[in-house]
Amino acid sequence: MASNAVYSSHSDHVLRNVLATMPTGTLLSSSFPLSNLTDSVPATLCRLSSTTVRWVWDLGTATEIQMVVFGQHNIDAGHTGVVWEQHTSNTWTSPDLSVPVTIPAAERDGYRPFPWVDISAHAARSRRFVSFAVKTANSVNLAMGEVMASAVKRIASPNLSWGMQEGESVPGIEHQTGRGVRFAYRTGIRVRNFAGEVDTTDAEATSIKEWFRDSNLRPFIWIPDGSVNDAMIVSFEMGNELKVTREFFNRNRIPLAFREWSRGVQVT
Amino acid sequence: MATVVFTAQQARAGTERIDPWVEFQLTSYPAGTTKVYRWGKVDVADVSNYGDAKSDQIISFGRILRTLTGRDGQLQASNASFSVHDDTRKLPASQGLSEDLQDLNLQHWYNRIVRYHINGSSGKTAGDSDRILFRGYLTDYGTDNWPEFNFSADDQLTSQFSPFGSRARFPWRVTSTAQHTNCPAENLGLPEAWWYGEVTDTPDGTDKGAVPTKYVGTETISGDPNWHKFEVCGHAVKQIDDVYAGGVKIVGEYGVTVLAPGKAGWPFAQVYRDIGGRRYTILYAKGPIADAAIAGTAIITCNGQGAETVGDGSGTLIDHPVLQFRHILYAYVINNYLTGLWPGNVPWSAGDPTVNKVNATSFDTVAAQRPTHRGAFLVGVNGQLTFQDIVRLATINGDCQFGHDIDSQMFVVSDEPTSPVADFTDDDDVILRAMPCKPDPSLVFNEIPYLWKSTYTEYQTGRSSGRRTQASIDAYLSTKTDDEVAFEWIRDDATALALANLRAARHRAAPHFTRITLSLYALHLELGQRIRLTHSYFSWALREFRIEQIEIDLDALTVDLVLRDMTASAISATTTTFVYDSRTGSSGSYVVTASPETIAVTIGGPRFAGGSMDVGIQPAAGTYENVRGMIPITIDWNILPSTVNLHFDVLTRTRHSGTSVTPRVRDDANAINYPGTVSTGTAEPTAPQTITITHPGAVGSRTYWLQATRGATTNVPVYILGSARIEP
Repeated sequence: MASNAVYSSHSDHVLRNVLATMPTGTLLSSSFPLSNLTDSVPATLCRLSSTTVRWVWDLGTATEIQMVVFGQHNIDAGHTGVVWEQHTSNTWTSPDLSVPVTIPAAERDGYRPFPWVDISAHAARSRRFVSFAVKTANSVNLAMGEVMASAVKRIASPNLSWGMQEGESVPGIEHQTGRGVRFAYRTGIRVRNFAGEVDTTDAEATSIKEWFRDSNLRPFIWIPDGSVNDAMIVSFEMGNELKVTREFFNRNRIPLAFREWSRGVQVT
Repeated sequence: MATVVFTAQQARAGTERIDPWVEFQLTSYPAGTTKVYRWGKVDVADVSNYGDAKSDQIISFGRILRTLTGRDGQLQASNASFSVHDDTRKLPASQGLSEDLQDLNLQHWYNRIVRYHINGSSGKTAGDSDRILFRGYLTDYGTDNWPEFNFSADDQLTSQFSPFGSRARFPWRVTSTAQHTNCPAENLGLPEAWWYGEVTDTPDGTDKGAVPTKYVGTETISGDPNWHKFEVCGHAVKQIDDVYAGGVKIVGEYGVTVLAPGKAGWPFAQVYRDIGGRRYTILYAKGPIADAAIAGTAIITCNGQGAETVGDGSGTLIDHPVLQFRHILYAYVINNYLTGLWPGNVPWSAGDPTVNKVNATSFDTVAAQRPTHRGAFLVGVNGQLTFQDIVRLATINGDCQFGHDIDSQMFVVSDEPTSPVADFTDDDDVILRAMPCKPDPSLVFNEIPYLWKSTYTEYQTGRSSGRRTQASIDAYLSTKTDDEVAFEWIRDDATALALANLRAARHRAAPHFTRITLSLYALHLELGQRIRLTHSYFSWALREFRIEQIEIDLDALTVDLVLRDMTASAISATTTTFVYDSRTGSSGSYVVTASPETIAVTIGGPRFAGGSMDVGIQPAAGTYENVRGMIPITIDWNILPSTVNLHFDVLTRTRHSGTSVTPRVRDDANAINYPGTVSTGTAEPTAPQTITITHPGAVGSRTYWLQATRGATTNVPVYILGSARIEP
C-alpha cells in the first residue's frame, strides 16, 4: 500500500564530507577515492578492485540516524550480506544495529534504483560509529556514488495531492537526412523528475518554507513512496522560488518540483 | 587493441552511447607532477583504460578543425576550442585533488597538452581503445562570462612556430663566437645553412660553383695558424665534387692552399667538423685564395651533394623534395639538431608513446608516387625563412599538401588518384543541413609560368618557362595565366617540367567545392582521401570527391567534410559556338563570363553599321529555318542543379509589313521545339523576347538551334538576332 513520501532536508545529512575508512576492500585508483562516498554527488564514484567491502565512518559522538540511502551502485540485485550497521566502537562482530540492505533489480536501461533503509524506529539508531558492508562477494568489483544518511526521516504531511506528475528525460542527439533517415546517439543518462502540489496548513507551509530555505540548490533525499525501496537524491526544480498560494483560512497551495541530482551514466 | 569505430548502423539504430571528453594535462611549473583534468558533458566513472572519471563540466566541446594546405602552400592550423563550467570554482583533478582555478599561476597553463577523446558503449564493451581526435597545446584561455572558462588549443606547429617564437626563423642556428672565436663581426649572426640534394652548376655549363661559403675566421691545423675557415653548411654532407675560387675550379691546390672534405690532403678523419658543440661542413684555404675570398673579390664556392641519411657523410643522399621536407621536420622542427647523427622521429608526448609527431609513412608514399622528382637547394644563404615558408616551399616543390592527420601527426598527401574509401548518399548518410556547392572559376589556370634553379651565387641566373594546357585554353577560349610559380627547391629541368605539368593539369578546369555533414561514422576519414557521393538533388551518382577539410562537432556529434570535386568542371563547353555573320563573314563571339555556369553566346553577329538588325533569312511560310550561318549551340553538360534555365534573348523584325516572324529554339536530336512569340513589326524591337528552356541538367549533351519562320502573305526576308544565357 502506498505511503506518504519521505524526504530529508540538506542539513539533516550527518555523513556529508565525513571521510570513511575501509578496513575491508581496495580502491581501484586514486580517481575514485573514499571521499566520493559523501561528497553529495552520486555521479562521482568510489570504485574498488574488490568485491567485498566495509566502509566505516566515525562521527565523533553518538549521532542519530533515521534513514540511509545508497546511491549509484553496482551491487547485484537481491545480493545477500549487504548491511548497514551502527555501533559504539569500531568493531563489527556484533554491532548494536545491523539491518540488511535490500538491493532492487536493475531497470531496463541498466540503472539501479537507490535502496534505502529505515532505522527511525530502531533503538540503536544513535551511535558514534556507522558502517556499510558487502560481506559476500558481488559479481563485479564494487562501486558506489553516495551514502547519504539523514538524522531525520521526514514524512510528507500532507502528502502530494493527486495529479502529481512524474517524468523522466533521456537526453540524446538526433539528426536526419533529407529523406528522413534518422540518426540518434544517447548520452547514456536518464534523469527523473517529480512535480506536484501540497495542500497545507499554515504550520505545514512554514515547515516547507524551512525545507526550501535549507535545501534549494542542494541535494537531499526524496522517496516518492515510503513503502517502496526506490530512493532518489534530488534538488528542488522550481526556478529557485517557492510560491505559497493562500487559498483559504489556514489552507495553502504550494507547487513543488524535484529533479534528480546528477548521477552520471549507469555504473557497470 | 583496436581503435573504436562508429558505424552507420549504430547511428541509425540509436544503439550507441557516446562518450566524448577533453583531457588537459597540467604540469606544475617549472617541473612537477602532472594532473590530468578530464571533462565531459555527463559524469562518467570509467576505469583507467578509458581515462578514469570524467566530470560533467563541459559546456561546449567546440569544433575540431583540420585542413590541408592550399595550392599556394599556406599552412593551415589544426585547432580546437572548448568551454568549461566552473561554478564551484574547483576544477577537479583525476587524483581526487581539487584546485581553485583562481589560485593557479595562469601562465603555466599555456602550452600544456590538450587531447580530445571519444569512445562509445559498444567500443568499451568490445575493449576498443579510445579514438583521440585531437592532440594539441593550450594556446589561450580565459573567461568573458564567469564561471564559463574558454580554452583554445592549437596543433603542435601553430603553438610552436608563431612568428614571434624563439625559433620563428629557419635556419635558427646562427654564426656565433662560441664556435668561431675570430669570426668577422659582419658574419656573426648569419644563419648556418642547410644543404639538400645535388646542388651543382656543372651540367648546365656554368661550372663556377653553385654553393657559396661564408668566412668564419681562422683555425690552426697541424700547427699552421694560417688556415681560414669557409663554412659551407651546418651539418655533414654526402660529397664535395669541386671547389671554386672566383669561379675558377680548384685543381692542384688541394692539400696545399685548399682543404676540402674528400679531397687530397684533407687532414681530418671525418668529412665534417665538430666545433663548439655544432657540426659543420667547412672548406679551408690560405694564401691568395683565402685573401681574395675574404676581401670578396673571388669568393669560394663548391658543387656537390648535401645532407645524407646518417649525419656523418656516410649515408645515402636525401634527394627527393618530400623526403627532404621530412628530414627538415625531423632535424629542425621536432628536434633541435646541433651535432652528431641526424635525429629521427619522436613520440607525440611522454604519455602518448605510440604516436609519433610525424607520420613518416605518408612522406614515403608521396615520394613513391613521384619517384623521379629531385630536390636540390640551400636554405639560409639568402636569409632565413619562417616555418610557414618552409611548408610553402615543401608543398609546392613536393607537389603535395601538408596538414595534421587523424592522429595529429604532421603528414603529407598528394592528389594522385586513389580508391574511394567510402560511399555516401543523401538518402541515408548526409544530414540535412545547408550544403553550399559551387565551382571556383578563380582556380582555373591554363598557363603556368614557372621558375626554377634558385641562385645562391653571382654566377648563375634563374631560368623560367611556362606550361600551357591547350585543351583548357580551347575550352575556355581564353588564356588564364597563373601567378609565376617558383620551384625553388628544384634544379633539374625534368622535375620542374613535371611539376608544372601537374599544376597545369590540376587547374585546367574550375573545381567544384561542397560541404556535407555526416554522422560519427565519418570520424575515421582522413584528409586527402576520396569518397563517392550520390545525391539525387544534384544528380550525382557515385561522384568522386576529395576531402580537403574535416571539422568535427562533438556537441552535435557530426562531421563536416569540405570536398573538392574530382570530376571535370561543372560545364565543359567542348564545342565552341559561334554564328556566321552573313555580311562580313566574320565569326561571332563565345564568351565565358564570370562563372562557367553562365555562358553568353551571341547569335547573329554584330549589327550592321547603320545600327539596324539585318541578318535575314527567307524560309518558306510555316517552315522554320535556321538562323543563317548558325552553328548549333552544343554544350556538354555536367551541371549541378538538377535543372537549369537556358534563355534565348531574341530580336525579330520583318522587312515589310504584311508578314510576320516567329522564332523558336529547336532541340533536333530530341525533336523538341521551344516556340517564341510571333511579331509583325518592321522596326527593331526595343527589348528582346526571351525563350526559356528548362534544361534537364545532369550529365549529357544537348544541341540547340535558333530558328524562325515567317507568315504566309509576303515572300520577303525576316530578321532574327539573339543571344543565349545559361543561368542555373
